Amino acid sequence: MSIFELANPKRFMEVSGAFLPWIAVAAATALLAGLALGFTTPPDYQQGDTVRIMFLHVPAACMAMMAYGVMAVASAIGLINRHPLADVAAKAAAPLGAVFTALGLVTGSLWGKPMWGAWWVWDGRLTSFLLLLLLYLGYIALGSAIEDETRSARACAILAIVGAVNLPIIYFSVKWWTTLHQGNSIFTGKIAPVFLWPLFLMMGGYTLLFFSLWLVRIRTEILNRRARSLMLRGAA
Amino acid sequence: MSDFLSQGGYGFYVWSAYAVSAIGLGFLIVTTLAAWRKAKRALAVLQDSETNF
Repeated sequence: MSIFELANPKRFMEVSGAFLPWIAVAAATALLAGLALGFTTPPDYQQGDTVRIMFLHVPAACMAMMAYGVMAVASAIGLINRHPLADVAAKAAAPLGAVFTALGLVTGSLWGKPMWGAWWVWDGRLTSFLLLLLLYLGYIALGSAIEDETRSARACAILAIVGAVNLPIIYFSVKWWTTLHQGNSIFTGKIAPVFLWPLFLMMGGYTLLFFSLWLVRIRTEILNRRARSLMLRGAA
Repeated sequence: MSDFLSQGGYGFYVWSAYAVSAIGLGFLIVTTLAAWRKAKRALAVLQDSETNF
């Protein structure tokens, strides 16, 4: 089966319906295991027990950026191939990404206060991440402001693609500018394995949770559109 | 037990972070599933009426 067959909404409903329960169960398992492991690790020698905030903060921030990447790619496919399912997929990712971004900001703040002595600083990483939240909110507002489905999708797609410039800015912000925020430390061997295991489990859990919710939201919109076309047919 | 709750003196920050994350993810799960059920019901009503007429 080619991946393009999935672009057919009927085929998409069948395949996503078959995979969804497994993805959801895997998400729950990873999250529970991550929580259990996260609360049994010893405190960090410098950060004490606040290291446990990392198990929430890093996955939320990663998902916030990944959801935006997914949204931008789906938007580009929707814009180029004019395929409605791509538009649906892009729009379904936005509210999820917005909540993950908000969680990244709040957990970061709750980590920053005890470790840096500040809830917030206007540095490159924090400011570009706040911009990510504003991009999500702008995208959602723009989508609900334009009633026509096709025009709304096109305007949103352009906003999503232009806003994607912010993703590398967020990623490299800790290298480009002097900052309180620490640099990338996950794949550099700077974190003890005892903290990496719960972190990876939570990352896996967040990723699987995002994909399960994303699929459900796409499926919901497919049903809504089917209902709308039935109503139009009934009215005609 | 009280050691666990105090989280080395950082209890407020640690538990707030976990509470906020649980609320955020819980909100996403509940609203996403509610919208799915609503869409399914609405479509079932429409398809019913279509076969009835």
